[in-house]
Amino acid sequence: MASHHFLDANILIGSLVEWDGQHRRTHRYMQQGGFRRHTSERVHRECTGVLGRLRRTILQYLEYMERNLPACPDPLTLDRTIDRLTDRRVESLASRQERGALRSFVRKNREDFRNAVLGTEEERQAFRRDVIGAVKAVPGPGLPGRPRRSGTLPHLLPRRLR
Amino acid sequence: MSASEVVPRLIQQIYQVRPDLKLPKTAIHKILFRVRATLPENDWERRHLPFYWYKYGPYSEVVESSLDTLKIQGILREEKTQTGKTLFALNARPAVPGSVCEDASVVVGRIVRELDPYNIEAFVNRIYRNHAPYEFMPRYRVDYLAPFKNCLASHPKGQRTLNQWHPGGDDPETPDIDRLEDALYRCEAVLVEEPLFERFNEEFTAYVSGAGKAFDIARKDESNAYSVIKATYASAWETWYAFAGGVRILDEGHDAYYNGRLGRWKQEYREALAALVPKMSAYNRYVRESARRIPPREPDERKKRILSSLVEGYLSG
Repeated sequence: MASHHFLDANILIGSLVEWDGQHRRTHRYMQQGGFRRHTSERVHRECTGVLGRLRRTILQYLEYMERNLPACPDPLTLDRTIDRLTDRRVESLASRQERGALRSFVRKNREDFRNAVLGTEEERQAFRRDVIGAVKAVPGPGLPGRPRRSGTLPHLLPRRLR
Repeated sequence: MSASEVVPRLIQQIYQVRPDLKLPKTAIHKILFRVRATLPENDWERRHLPFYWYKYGPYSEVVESSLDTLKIQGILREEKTQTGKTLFALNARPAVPGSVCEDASVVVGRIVRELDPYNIEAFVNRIYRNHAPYEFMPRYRVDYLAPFKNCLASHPKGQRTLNQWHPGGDDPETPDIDRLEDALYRCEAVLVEEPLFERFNEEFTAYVSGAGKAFDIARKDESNAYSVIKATYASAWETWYAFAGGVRILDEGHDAYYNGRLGRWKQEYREALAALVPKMSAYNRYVRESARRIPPREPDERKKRILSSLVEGYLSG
């Protein structure tokens, strides 16, 4: 009889992104066969809810920057301008986690964001599409291993994503 | 002229300018809203023309009741079109035609002469773009819902082309799935950031996530694409109706005349939101089940880096 594994949000997201050194292990786990994987609707909703909020935060940020950055920014002072506007936007966010996500996003994608700001409209759109596409890669029915919704296993709330 | 006479006289003024006009009720609301928006803030007639934003744009209970009165008085009559639409037409000129002050008369004349009765939608869209109190409203109502309706109409059920949901091309009349999806994310970028809308915004984001998957199903041209897109369209309207119930509560969404309605409106908004939550869950469940056959997309390095940065920042925040 096949054994059953229940996947929580940490494994679902860990299999896709390198945020906790889990990626390699969870990715390898997802490739393995011989057992059935399950998750609950609640865990799935938790994952998509968090990631949806992150998408919203970044889309709002990009909109804010579009409105506030000068039409032809000075490349020499652009970093300072980005930092100043980012600080202002971060301060307006009520959620501590969303503030952390925005700061991390700007820090780790500065080069791409900078190029997008200095680039053409197409390049800005491409960057925006990649932000949307990144969050679209949410664990779900298309995930390797195809975790299934289970009505029999108890709901397990992801500890770290709460 | 008493305050209660202002709106009936303004309505009659519309028909004095163009006696042959046959207008749907909603167009009369919008014309008078434009009149209100054009008149100076301290104008006496403007103060007696109160509006609030609702499901189909600016709406006035005073205009609504004045139309009923004019119908009962036999000044206006209702006509049904072949498609079942009801239009208001001039029945008889009043024995003593009332007049409005010169300013209002000029404004009504200009707006009505410029109006194309065969393209009321364009007139309404301009009102959303120029006067809606929140940027979210024209983006959602004009840039998403309206093209979505046209998109569905141009892809009837059972029609099969090489890729029916993805015609591409530059024809702005046939918006493809990419344009629709992009318009939706642009709405999410300008959600109303008011405490009253926190819960709505959560549901809207859930809708955007589900719709994103639904558009992917359409792109893959799966056999169930039509029903998934139809459900996405229906949910889009449910979402809009819930929003419209909330926006009229905010100060920017209504004139002070309606302040006495706020208690009831808040109650109705709470009920609409409570009803939206299970509908959105059911919609997302349906999309998720429908997306089972779609192979996983492999994110490229930049997307992985973006997602990693977000999740890491979120967890350490």
